[in-house]
Amino acid sequence: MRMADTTQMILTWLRETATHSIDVEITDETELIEQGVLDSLQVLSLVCFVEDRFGIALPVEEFVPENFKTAPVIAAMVERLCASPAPSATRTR
Amino acid sequence: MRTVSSVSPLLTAVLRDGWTGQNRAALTARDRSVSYAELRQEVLEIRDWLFRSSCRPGDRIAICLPKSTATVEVILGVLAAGATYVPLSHRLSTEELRRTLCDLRPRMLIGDRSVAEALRDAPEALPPAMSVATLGGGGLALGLEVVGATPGVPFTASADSEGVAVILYTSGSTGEPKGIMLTHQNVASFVDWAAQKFEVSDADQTISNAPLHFDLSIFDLFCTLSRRGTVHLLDESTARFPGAVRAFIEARKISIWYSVPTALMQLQEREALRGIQSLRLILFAGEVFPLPVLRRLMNSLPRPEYVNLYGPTETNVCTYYRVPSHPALDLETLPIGRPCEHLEVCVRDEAGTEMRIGETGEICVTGPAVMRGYWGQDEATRGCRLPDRKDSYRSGDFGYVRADGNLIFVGRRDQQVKVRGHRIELLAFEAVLQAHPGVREAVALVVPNDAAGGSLAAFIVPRQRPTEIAEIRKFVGARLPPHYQPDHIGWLDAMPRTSNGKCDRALLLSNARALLGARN
Repeated sequence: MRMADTTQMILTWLRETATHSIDVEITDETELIEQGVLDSLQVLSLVCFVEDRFGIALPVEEFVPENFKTAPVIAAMVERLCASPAPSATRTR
Repeated sequence: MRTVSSVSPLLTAVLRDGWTGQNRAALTARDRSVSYAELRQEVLEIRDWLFRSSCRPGDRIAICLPKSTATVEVILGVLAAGATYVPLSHRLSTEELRRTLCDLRPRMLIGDRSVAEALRDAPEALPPAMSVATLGGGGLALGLEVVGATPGVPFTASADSEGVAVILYTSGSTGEPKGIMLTHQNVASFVDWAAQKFEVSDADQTISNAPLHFDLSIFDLFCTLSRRGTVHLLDESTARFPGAVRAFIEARKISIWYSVPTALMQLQEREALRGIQSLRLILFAGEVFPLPVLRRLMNSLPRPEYVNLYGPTETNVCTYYRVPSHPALDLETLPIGRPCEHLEVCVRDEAGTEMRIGETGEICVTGPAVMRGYWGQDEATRGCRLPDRKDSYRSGDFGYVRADGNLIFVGRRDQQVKVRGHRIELLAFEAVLQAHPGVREAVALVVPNDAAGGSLAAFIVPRQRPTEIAEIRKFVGARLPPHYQPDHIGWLDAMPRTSNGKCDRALLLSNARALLGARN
């Protein structure tokens, strides 16, 4: 999948689910953490979404704010994890 | 050197001067570290600034700031001035902040610029003679600056408020704010008990998870500082990311962790704590920790001691249970344990008679940690006491004493429930939902699930015009704190009724999963 498509998919998800608490339009440049788009529940739901959608398991060391700054940054992480061989399965659930 | 006698026992260690090791860190946050020597200096400067700004001992100072080393310095400075600190959530809606301030009638509110600006819109809706100060303003040494005051005659504190160190707000049964007054002695009795019981020392590195308006923070700050350990403030945005929390713990060699179970559960889901060597003590409180998750956590991180703490804000921790290192597989419930040694805890019936082993009754607490009372609510204060005991508290929680002497928690008396560690008043929440023009009827329920305390669900019968879920969330967000955002919103064509015409909550609850769909 192309980076742009992944970014688009994440943006669509954010626009559909994360708009209740803020009044900003979410774009490529939106600072998701700084502008309060991703609160603690949203972060968890977003991770569930990308793990399900892309069949990846997010290792704990990747679960850091630096990887969630903007939609393209999240997409880049997803692409990286999709490309890497057999992710170290750190999820217990 | 100025005299710093007659101040709180909570500050003895912080204000002492000239001891070796004064250059060790007292507080750290993401980008700042404050030594004991610096902390002492800052606290005294803030105290003097408060005096210059007309604050007097016994005054109430509301603090509405994000968690930072500066915020903790302000808290300690308020205590050093002999005033009462009242930490308010930085994420309260403006309306709720106003309501709380009108109840509290503080001498001063210390906020950041966004808080000051939000309040400036409607100064007439604020209590009289309250000055508003901001922290983070440029130019001044402390960054503290008075930016305005509301007109009127100051509210004079009654003699009774003397000696109150902190007022912690929770929402009362009608959703109105309720301030729990804790004296220096109340707090100190808990701090001494906990510091001794868990052998807190100057070698300890405590991570502060809980927000500063939550009573868990009293342990983090005062237990650690009284024993000259280091408090490491975990900010809200780092806390959302398990990888960042792990890095924070490893970098600072954290030895003590205290949080609601939810915080630990979210980390365990990612095995974020696996094998960390520095942690020696894990304390949790505020909700029921589901045993399967606790077992997995203890397998993943076997070294620390795990202790289940129980206690309402009105008493702070009143019972504790050291979890055996291998919880028996047949353990069905996690006991809340035995009374803390500084308190008496027993289970009583309506008439106040002590129950026998195994009989369920109300958990009642007596002793020096029990709150002075509810701020400005004498009747509510009297209503929660045992007859003739001013230092007692009837918790409204139900439980029984097991044959082995451990207390087992059964549930709340009223509909007051906890979700993700926060008190939720279902009736108040429903009242807000029902106030939305697009809502015909609304019922709020806590649906049990694997998560501690369950999840918050709202069932809504809409009016003709379709209403968006996002709009409901925004409506709730503007009126209630963030923890009132429901996990689920379900639309109903009609509200189910019991035979006598009441809303059938039991039916809704039993059908909740089906009604809300397979999601989660």
